[in-house]
Amino acid sequence: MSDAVLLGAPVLLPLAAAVLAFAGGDRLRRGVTVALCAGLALAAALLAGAAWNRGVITHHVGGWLPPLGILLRADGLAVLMVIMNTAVGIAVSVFAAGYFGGHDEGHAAGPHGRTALFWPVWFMLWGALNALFLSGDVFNLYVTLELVGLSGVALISLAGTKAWPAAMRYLFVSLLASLSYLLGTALLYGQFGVLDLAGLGRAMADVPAARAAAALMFVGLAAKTALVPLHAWLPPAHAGAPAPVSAVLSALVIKGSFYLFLRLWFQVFPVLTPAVLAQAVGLFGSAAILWGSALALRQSRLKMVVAYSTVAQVGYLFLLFPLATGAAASVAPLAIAFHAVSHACAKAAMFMAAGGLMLAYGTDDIRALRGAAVQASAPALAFAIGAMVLIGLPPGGNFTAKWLLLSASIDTGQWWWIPVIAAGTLLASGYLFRVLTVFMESSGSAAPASAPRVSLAAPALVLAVAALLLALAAPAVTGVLERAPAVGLPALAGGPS
Amino acid sequence: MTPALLYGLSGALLVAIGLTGAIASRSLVRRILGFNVLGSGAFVIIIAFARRVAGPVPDPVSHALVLTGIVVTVSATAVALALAVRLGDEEDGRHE
Amino acid sequence: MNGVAIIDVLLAAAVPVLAAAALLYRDLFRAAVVFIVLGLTIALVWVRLDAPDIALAEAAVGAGITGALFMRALGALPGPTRSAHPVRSSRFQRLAVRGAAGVFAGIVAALVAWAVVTVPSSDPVLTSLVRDAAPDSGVGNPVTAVLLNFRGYDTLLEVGVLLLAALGVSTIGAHRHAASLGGTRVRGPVILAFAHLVLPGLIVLAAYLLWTGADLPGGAFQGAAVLAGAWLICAFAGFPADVAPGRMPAVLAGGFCIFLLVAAGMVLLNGGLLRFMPATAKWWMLLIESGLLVSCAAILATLVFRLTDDDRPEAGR
Repeated sequence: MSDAVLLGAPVLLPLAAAVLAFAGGDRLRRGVTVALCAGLALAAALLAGAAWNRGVITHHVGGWLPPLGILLRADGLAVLMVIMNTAVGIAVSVFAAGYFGGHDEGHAAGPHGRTALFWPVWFMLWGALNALFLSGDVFNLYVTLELVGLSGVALISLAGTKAWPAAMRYLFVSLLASLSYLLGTALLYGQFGVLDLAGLGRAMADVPAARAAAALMFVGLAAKTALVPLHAWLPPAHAGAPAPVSAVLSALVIKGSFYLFLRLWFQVFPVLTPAVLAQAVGLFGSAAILWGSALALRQSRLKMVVAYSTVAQVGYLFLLFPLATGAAASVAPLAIAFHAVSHACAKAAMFMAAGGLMLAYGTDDIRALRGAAVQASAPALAFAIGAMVLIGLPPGGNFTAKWLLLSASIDTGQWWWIPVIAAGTLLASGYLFRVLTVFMESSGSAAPASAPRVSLAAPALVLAVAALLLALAAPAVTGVLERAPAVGLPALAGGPS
Repeated sequence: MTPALLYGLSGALLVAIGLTGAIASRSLVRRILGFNVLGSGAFVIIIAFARRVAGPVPDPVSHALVLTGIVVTVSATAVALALAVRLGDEEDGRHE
Repeated sequence: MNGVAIIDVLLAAAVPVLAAAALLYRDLFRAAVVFIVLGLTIALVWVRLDAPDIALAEAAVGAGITGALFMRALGALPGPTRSAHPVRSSRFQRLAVRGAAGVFAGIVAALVAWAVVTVPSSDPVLTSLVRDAAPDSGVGNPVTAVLLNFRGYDTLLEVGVLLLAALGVSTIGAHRHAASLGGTRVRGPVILAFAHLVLPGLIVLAAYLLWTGADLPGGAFQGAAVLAGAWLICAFAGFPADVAPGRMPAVLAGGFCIFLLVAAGMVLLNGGLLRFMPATAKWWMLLIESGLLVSCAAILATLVFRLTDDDRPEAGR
């Protein structure tokens, strides 16, 4: 299989599907969705297999070598992100087909035309995320960032009047962040004269333009990833969107800007990121874990709890930076890979379950969801499994990630992260068990307005179980990260036992 | 002081003005104006850099980047204005 | 273009002043007009910096289409909002917020300015690479070569962004008709006469911009903006030059579709994504650009037209 196909398909297939979904009719749309899901599953499998066998896969678009042309690059981390994107994307597509087929979340009853626009925009987002994960050019990444951001805004707006303020705030943060990133790119290009990540990394030096660019780009990307204190835009946006959109935003989109942050940190700017800065980033991550969890405890709406949980979980990701040094250099990236994938599956499952519950009960106010464990058992179960995974139940991916982070803290002598992780786990149990207890209450619960459909809960259950069993895939995850190493990220010596 | 440096500094000034407008304005439409000014500032800087050396042809890659940037900016502006109209220019959606 | 001429000093000073004015005028309508003037002034800056392609694009898209978007948006907002907002927070509070933002922006700009001053004044590595590879690109205009050949993947995604904006605007507005360009019709003898005069010229100009973009300044996007302007004049003048509603999505997405097909097709033909052979490159690029000319024109016109359904009687001030 040629590299062009391996790297081009994950991007071109969804974009082509978007065109067909927009220009074709209703019947065409269904066929296109099925074909796309099958095609992307195949493409992801082939890409993973190729990376396993041959190591890093690259392709020079247009046949021009970088820095003249744009490089597409799939290393182990990118492959994992594409797999995550594909798995969650397929589940969400199945869910959305059922979700939009019936209701419109009771919000502005838009004409059938509006939810029909979900599909082309969602496919564009899907393709844009793959393009982001596979790109090796700093300006190309700017265009993918904009594509992701604008499609996110359009998708949030589907929920109607109530969601518009949140969509507007999201758009402003997104635009400000992208422009900051663009300004950084301008300075980098002005200083170093190349645009490919590898070339920039080689040419990097501690000059004012590089420092300014680093500041601009890191702050912008941190804002896009909702790192505390730049997090306020996320809960209303993620909670206010229609359920399938919430799933995509919290599970996938947020990983995109984090992935970029990671790439820039390790591949482009390693010269400029002293340990002090890494510790500072870790501190912000810790603040996110604690503050996000604390706020989650106070929410009365289910989707808001889940959204604030995203703010908290994002904090764990940023612990990578202080911990990727010394003895634990190879363990920390592995932890983050597990966390990213596991959180994506679990969070998507939780949002989809919340959507199913909202359809059944007509509201996502937690007090109204009493007895859901019995009356809406499928979505409630999916939610419960996802919650347990996030808290850290083995053999879930989050458990593996936390275990690895803890051992990394011990190995590098940075013991101060241990209480943070412990507190985060405790708080997560707090805000999630609070919800689960309500589900399991049996007295005086009002029957749900309509029976929850199993077809809506199935994708959520599948993803939640996948997240639960993620640790069993450890050899595969470690293997692909080893065989196709990422530039700048320390190579893995061996996997967890 | 070359023209490139002069315009580059002008661009930096645009960045400051645009950023202030984008953050501090009350009207949504004015904030969108601010974003456009901020973007233009970045573009001015890129093209100014392209003209640092007085050669026969300025750097075409910079020009392509700015062209792409202009198209992306108009796209974002359109979506932002559509939302702003829906919200009546008030951040919390109240019509005054 | 060696030293700094008086015109450069004037332009470099005028640009920030106009920008500040646009952000300070209380009447948003006036602010938007100043913004359009700013766009045209920046276009002059591009001319001074030997960037005619960008000057065309800035004038047509940056000032023209963006200006039309702002005007349309302002026309749809309730009247009082167009002028000063009713004061809800104290004067001091607002000044404090503005001050803090200004300080923050100033710090950012200082960082940027420091970078501007210290970058090496040598051409980027990329310039010589482009110059060496230009003969193989199939076109004489190096910017077109970069846009459609060397970095065509960027352009592909950028067209995706444009199409997405059209989808986004359609999602956010409540539109009665699925996809036609229906909306306000401003009838009147003057605009009709203007349309008659100007339309054929604009269409020819758009095609010309596309064709010469191969070797001279110009290109698909500039042509598309001009064509979009023609389309909008048509629609506002009540010309029956609309596209059947059922066919509109195809027109909007057609250019992107062609681009995708060529990108994939080149994998089969030449073994790489968007990979052209020097001999046939020009024709493939022309194919892509022709599709883009029509589609992007439709998208830009759609962005202005479907921005809102709400057209107040006092619109068109």
